[in-house]
This record gives sequence, structure tokens and C-alpha cells, in this order.
Amino acid sequence: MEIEVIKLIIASIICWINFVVVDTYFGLPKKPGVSGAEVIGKKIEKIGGNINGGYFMGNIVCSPDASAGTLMAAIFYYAMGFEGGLIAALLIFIGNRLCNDPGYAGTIGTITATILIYLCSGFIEPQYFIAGMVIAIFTIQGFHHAYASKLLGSIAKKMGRI
Amino acid sequence: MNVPYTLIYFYGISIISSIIIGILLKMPLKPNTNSFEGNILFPTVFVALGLTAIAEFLFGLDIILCVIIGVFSALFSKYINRIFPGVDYGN
Repeated sequence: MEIEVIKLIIASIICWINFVVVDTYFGLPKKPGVSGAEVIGKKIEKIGGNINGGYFMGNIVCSPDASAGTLMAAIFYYAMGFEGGLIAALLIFIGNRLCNDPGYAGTIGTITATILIYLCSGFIEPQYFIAGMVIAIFTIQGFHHAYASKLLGSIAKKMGRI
Repeated sequence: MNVPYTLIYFYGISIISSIIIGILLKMPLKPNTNSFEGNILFPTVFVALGLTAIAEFLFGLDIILCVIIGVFSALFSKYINRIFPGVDYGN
């Protein structure tokens, strides 16, 4: 029982770092890709958050970026093995293009997530990454919007991507 | 972990043939994360990997099929801007 909880926590930390770093690197906090993302960013700024973190969260909602990519990679890896992650990357790329996004963040986030799941496969099984990614996305989108956007804004500033 | 070397060989053929066809089609060399144009590495390599994985599950791989996938993914990436065009927003 304890070992399962530890695996789940480690998997969610790996997923969180993967999608936040990839999404920040490819410029999600910089500008909204569609008008829905801009509305979400402005709304989060109004309730006391950071505008760049708000754009980040809006872009996550409006297009399948590295967050959806990590989740899809975990599901496909669970269902089909390593090759499943590659199929997930192709599907995420097409989804990105349908959502007016060049597709770099989603595709590369899916590939890095697949590689991370493969490297951890001796210790943490892929199903823990599915649950771990749900927890990771909950800490950003569900827990406390203003605080999460400030955290994402400060990470983006530290990485120099704003 | 036992690594399946034959599969890596087939995936390598797909990637290399897609890059060679990409060079022949004069696709841009440098990735530009703000543009919707395809370039030699993105999305060519990722389309080739994904299609090879789908082909492996559906038919099994051989060299001819991998080369065909490479050619197709280079063409797909060359015209990606017409297949899935981006719209100007916020520019």
C-alpha cells in the first residue's frame, strides 16, 4: 500500500516537471494562442493572479499542449507500449494544428513524457503516470488559480521565456 | 531491459529517408517555434515516427514500407501549412 502511494507521488512529480518545463520553454506564458486563452488569462489576472501564468493556463485549456501530451503518452504507453507514445505524439500534433498552435510544445512534451515513462518502467508502471498526470494537472487548474498562475509566472520569468 | 534492435533499425530508416526527402524538397533547416511552416526536423521526424508505429501495429515493418512512410511524412510536412493552416491571431 505505501509503495503504491510513493510511486504515485513520484509519478505525479515527474509529470508536473515535464509538462511545466516543456510548456514554459515553448512559450505558452508569452502570448495567448486563441481568444479563449486570452479571456482566461485576463480573468485570472482580475482575481489577483499573474497574467503570464493566466495565459499559460488558458493555452492549456484551449489546445492539447504538453499537459495533454503527457496524459496521452501515459495512456498510450499503458495500452500499447513505447510505440504507443509515438502514435500519441502524432495525434497530439494534429490536435495542436486544429487548435491554431504550431505544435512544438505538445509534440515534444509527448515524446519527452514517453522517454521518461520508458526510463522509469523498471520501477513505476505506466498506470501510475496516468493517475499522476491527473493529480499534476489538478494542482495547476483546480486547486487555487491565483496562486498557481503566480507560480507559473515566476517559473517562466526564471527560465527567461516571457 | 532488452532493446529490440531490428525495430530501431526500421524506425531509423523511416527517419533518415524522411530527412533526405525533406532536404530534396528544400524545406527550411532551422525550426521557428512561431511559424506554422514545416521544417526538416519538425514535424517531419515526429510524423515519420508516429506513422511507423501505426504501421508496425497494423502490418508489421519492412524496409520498403519504411521508405514509403519517410517519403509520405516529408511531403505531409512540406504542405502542412496548407493541410492545417494557422490563423492570424494577436499579430
